[in-house]
Amino acid sequence: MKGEMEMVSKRKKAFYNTDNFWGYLFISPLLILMLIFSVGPIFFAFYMSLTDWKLSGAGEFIGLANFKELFADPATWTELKNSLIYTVFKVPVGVSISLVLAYFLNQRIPFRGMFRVVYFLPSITMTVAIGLVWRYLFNSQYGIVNAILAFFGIQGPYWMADPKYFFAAIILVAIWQGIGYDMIILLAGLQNVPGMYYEAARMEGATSFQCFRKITVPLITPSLFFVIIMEFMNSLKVFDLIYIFINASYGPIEDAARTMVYGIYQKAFVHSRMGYASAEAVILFVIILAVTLVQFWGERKWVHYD
Amino acid sequence: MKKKWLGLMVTVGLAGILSACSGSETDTGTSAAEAAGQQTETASSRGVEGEEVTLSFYYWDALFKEQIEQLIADFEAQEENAHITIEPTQLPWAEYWTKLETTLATGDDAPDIFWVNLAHLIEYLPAGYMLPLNEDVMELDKYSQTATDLLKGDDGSYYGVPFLLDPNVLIYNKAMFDEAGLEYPSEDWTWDDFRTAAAALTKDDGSQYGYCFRLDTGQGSMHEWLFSAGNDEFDYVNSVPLFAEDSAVDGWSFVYDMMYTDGSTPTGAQMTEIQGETYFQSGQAAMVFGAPPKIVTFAEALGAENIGVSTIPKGARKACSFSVCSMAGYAGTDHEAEVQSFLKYAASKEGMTTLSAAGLTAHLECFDTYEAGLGIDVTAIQTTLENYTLVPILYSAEYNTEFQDQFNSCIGEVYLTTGLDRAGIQEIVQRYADQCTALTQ
Repeated sequence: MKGEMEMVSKRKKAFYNTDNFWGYLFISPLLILMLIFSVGPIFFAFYMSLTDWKLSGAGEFIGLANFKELFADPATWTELKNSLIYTVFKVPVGVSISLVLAYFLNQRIPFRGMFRVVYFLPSITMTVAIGLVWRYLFNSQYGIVNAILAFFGIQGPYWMADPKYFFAAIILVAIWQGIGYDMIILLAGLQNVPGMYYEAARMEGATSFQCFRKITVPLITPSLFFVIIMEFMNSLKVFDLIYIFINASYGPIEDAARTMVYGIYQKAFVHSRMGYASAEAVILFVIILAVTLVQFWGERKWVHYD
Repeated sequence: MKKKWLGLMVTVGLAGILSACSGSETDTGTSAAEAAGQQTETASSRGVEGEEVTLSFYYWDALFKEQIEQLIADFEAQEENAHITIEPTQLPWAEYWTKLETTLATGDDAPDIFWVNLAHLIEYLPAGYMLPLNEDVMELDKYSQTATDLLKGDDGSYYGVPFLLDPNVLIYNKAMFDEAGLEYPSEDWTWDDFRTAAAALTKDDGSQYGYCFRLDTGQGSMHEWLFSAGNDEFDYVNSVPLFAEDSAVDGWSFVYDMMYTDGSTPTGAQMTEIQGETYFQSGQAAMVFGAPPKIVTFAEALGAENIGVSTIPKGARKACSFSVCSMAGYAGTDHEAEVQSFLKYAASKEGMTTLSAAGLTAHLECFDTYEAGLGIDVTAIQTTLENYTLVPILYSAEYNTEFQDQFNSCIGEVYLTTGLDRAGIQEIVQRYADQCTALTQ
């Protein structure tokens, strides 16, 4: 009996003295805030999606009616389609350009520091400012984009008024804005690749492209994986650039670019249908969760940590 | 295993950010109930006379900044109001409604006094956000009845002081008429007179348009054409769309022909890039429809001497849209007596005279002050108030924003599509009208 008591007290003492305890203690302020402001709301959103709460008054529990309405609404499918198109174009194109840029900016080229800053600048510029300025640049009559096209004898389209070009223009701007951040992460990864691998490869007669494909890419897969997973998440939840570009346009223009988060915003803050908006947020949550889990599953096959 | 946890944490963290909006809903849900509780408090528990009181006041129009500050200063200067301080907050239009609606619904930081337009009044009144005014706040016989009727609740009380009355008018650039050698628009103009003048004022090189339409549902856009075509757009009470009726198609087609046959107004695509009225404001269009506050904006841009005002051209009837903005109190305020007292002062001839320097108030004795402040002959506004059918822009009692969205999209699709004939226009507007109807079923 006495022995057991001693063991219990030993165990307790051991716990209070472990690094883990102090670790948990130090992260607890942030953890508690995250539980209150991030994790808690997720569960509340799940509950809200089952009610018809409209901002004022109390919402009634209506089961899965919001989801039924969402799936029957053509706007939901347009939003889902646009979010996927945006992601499918932005992620591969953006990451590929970032990787190539990072590779070149890791070489000893003149003005390397300046180029790094220039490519990174759009990432730290406010999206609102970027959206507003690019709207002007895309103006069919006064914009510089069409002026450049005209120089080459090409009649530029109505970028901001033709549904065929509107969304493409937004994706182009998003790629331009995003490459700087991805480039910096990949550049950091590149700088951790030991130079001796390249020296050895060159002695064996490898070309630059072979070095890039066989040494650079495999060794920066952890950075690449991080960049891709963040890009997927950010692309699926894109809102600010879309909102600024749509800029109170309606009909075909709005439909050409409305994404899921734009739809959530509209349902919640324009139509005051919080329950209905939460239902769409839940669907987006599930989509992002699924995509991320698939990526983590695939990680084992192509990401090398050693 | 650790990586899996990391993955889960990243995912959950992201979803947390995504759900942040939804999260606040629940917080606000609880508070809304509290707010409702606050509203049931008895008046006696609110505000003790003599105690220092600060009232918050939200409004959206920066044009009124000077007058609002003057109004507040005059009110506070009165001896009996020495204990009251009013803190005005001007919020940009786009943010105004989001912020106001959230604070009113939750009761957290809701303003004691706020501006409300017609489109929101119809939502806020039944929601119980607005304070019924004491009988002595407004001298009803001094106000336009068209305006006050809209502020009357089912219980017979009035819920706001209509400080701004905005019937739409035709605003034109005198210099452009002079240059073209045309007579200024008269109050007996018909649609055909308007179309002929617009075509004559349009320059072939695209540097000047006779008219600039607006591709939105603000005042002065499609409403004027539909209302004057004899169409009411929506049966607001029963939530029935009317904008696809034959009379409406006359209006839709008329503007379409001016745009794509005459070329006397910028196309839908051009107006998506540059808002319609910007053409007028920058001296690239000769005529525009707009509410009285726009006269001030345009006069500042083009010079008061270049601005003329006439009535909306007559179609099947003399009609135009109009809007009423009112000053209201929050039903859940802790200082009801002070709010009533301020609204009473604002509603007095003295208060309305101050505001009249910035806009046309609904107080019948302040028109001259307004006109004198403008320095522009605006008798057309008086004519409109007296002789026109004034139609408020109201979409649906129950599906207001949903109907407005459909209507907006309809305008967008009609005027962004080229090569339409009357049947093509009819098909598009009917489709949107059907979508409105489907929403109600």
